[in-house]
Amino acid sequence: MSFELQEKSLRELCESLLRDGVAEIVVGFGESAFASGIAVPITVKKPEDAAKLSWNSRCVPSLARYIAGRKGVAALVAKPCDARAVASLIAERQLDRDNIYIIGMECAGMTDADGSALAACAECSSRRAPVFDSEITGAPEAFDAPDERSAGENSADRFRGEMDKCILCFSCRQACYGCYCETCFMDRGAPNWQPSEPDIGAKMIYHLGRAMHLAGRCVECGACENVCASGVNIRYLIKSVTDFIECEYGFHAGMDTKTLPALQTYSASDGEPGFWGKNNE
Amino acid sequence: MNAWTPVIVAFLCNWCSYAGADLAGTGRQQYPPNIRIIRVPCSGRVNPMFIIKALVDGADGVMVSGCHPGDCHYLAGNLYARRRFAVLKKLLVTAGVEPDRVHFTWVSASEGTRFAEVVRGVTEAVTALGPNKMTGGGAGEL
Amino acid sequence: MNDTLTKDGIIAFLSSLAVKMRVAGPVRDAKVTEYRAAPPEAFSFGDGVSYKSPKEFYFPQTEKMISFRGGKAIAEEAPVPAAVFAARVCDLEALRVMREVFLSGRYKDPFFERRLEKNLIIGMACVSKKPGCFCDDLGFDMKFSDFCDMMLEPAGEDSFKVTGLSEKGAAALWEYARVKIECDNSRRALTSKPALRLNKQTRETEIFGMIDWEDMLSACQGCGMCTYICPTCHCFEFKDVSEGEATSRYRCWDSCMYPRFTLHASGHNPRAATSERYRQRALHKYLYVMQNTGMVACTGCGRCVRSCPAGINIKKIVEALMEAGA
Repeated sequence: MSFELQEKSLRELCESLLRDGVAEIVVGFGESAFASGIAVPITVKKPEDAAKLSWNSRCVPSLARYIAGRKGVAALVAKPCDARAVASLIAERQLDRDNIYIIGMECAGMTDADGSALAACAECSSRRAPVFDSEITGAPEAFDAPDERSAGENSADRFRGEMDKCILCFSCRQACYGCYCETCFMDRGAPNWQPSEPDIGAKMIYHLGRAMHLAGRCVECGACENVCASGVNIRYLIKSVTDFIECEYGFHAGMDTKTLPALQTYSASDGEPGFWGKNNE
Repeated sequence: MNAWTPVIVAFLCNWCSYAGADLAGTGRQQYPPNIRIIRVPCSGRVNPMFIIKALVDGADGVMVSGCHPGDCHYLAGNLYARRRFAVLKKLLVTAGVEPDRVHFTWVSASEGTRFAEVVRGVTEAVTALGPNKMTGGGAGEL
Repeated sequence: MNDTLTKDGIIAFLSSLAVKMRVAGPVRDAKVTEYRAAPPEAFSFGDGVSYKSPKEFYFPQTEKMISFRGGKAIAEEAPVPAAVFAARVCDLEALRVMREVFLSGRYKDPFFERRLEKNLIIGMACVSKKPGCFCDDLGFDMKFSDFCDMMLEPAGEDSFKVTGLSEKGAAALWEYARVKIECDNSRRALTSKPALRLNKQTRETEIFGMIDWEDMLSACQGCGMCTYICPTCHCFEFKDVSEGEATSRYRCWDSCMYPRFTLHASGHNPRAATSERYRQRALHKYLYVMQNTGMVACTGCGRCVRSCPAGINIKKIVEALMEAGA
């Protein structure tokens, strides 16, 4: 029931995976760059380097983006949210199931530099990966989840307040498993969605546009919020959409490798909430 | 004197609602002149970005109208759109956009009367909200 | 001669400055310390370092350079000057680097110059080293820099020792707070030769092969946040925008971490990989600027280290290069 025991089993497993040729590389977490810093994502290629892998409460980064576009089998040290991201990428045909070996880590949630639970982790209820090839259980006690930290009023003032903090560096996009477009709509010249000034309008276009692109695909890993240097809490937007999709279409992203995301399909019996003449909520 | 009236961007499907608007015109149906029609090949062609961009750039309201479910010229374009619009509306409302700024509906080519009715209703709803203040009028100073 | 100001005295001084200037400083939010224009009561007087540097008050994220209408230039109003409160030693030394880059060569940058001239810079000493900070490795004394109009040093509960470093600073303090300080031009920053530095003679062709860049930087996500919050990063691009009948040219921040930074019209990208782009960032700071000006263009503020979503530490990279003989 501790990080140390999980770490030990993880290293043993990865060593054997690499030695037996089951996987060519292991993508996991290494040591942090400075005291209280996050664990740095690393790629391990040799069995003897498996000891470099670590597993602790600061394994914050989302790793799913590091396995895209690789040849050969990659093993991934996957938190439940990472495993969901991988499953979702497989369903979206961005990854080949045969090329990925998922090491599902039972997870009690990660913490920030001060040791308190990250907001997304505190709200998370999935402690185990829904899809995996091997699983390493024995996580420490979870927080008193779920804790609705992103709750709050849906007002224009709240949204504007969050937008004011944003500096449009796009690190949330870079960290997100689901943002794999070769050219993001914000980088495109035709049509040029992005106004010249980083004004409130540009930020709204970016965040609303990205939320729409992620609608029904978000795996609630919280990477967008965890990487943000400005502390923009934009996860509440996408969370409300994710909850809506779950309740309206019964879809939860990344729970298996087959189901298409909710917005890439339809049903003839779909409801019309918010439509003209319908319940305007 | 210069009473404010809203500017409403209307995305109309070429196969139904656009023809419906035409029929409303030839049938001498009266409706407010506040909509600016943009003809699209299908309601499924309406990228949610169109709607977001219109609102951010100051449109007071947006309306999208396509073929009734089951009648899509491309078989399922409006069915994909239906999910997309429901989700978009949820997103916009979460971001503090008033629910009555954005409207989705179905109008067929034979429903000229219904088209005029919807436009009257949409215009009334948006007028009641007043001007769009989403971006607060201009760039925030750095 | 030195004087002591209380926290309330400083707030009163900044509030009266706010009549004719934008006053900016660190503001503690629920999660992060921002750096922005705000009412002085909101400023944090603690030892925390803001995640963003005060760079944007000298070199804004976007700046209109010129506008035209009907073939004629439209006169621009000069920007409102800013009082930059509680800039840390790393920020002040970074401004020194920026001045070197923008104003020392044959072509002077009038936009940077007018802001540097009009802004009032109030430095604040650090009490302790924060996680990720390494200004001492670059030879700076975290308690003092002379590249400002006045320097504040915490001296007990809510009181600060003030050192006047320019006539402008002393005049402002007299005009807006009725506090008379003498301008002490003799006090200089105690800088030593940086321990963290590369050999100027190292050639690019060698250094590219000295370490396994790709392996060291495999975690980089290429987000470019490091360049936005860095106090010395200064790359920009131009954008021409039509605004109604007028056309304006903007200067916007750019980042060497973005793939489009070096993308050729042909489609070829000389720095296609993320690791190549980060290599450019590290070497620009530690080698190229040094070859041109003799200064290291990194002041060890540690912002990129603390905020990096992938936990990349530029110091470790430079150390690895030094070990490899650069």
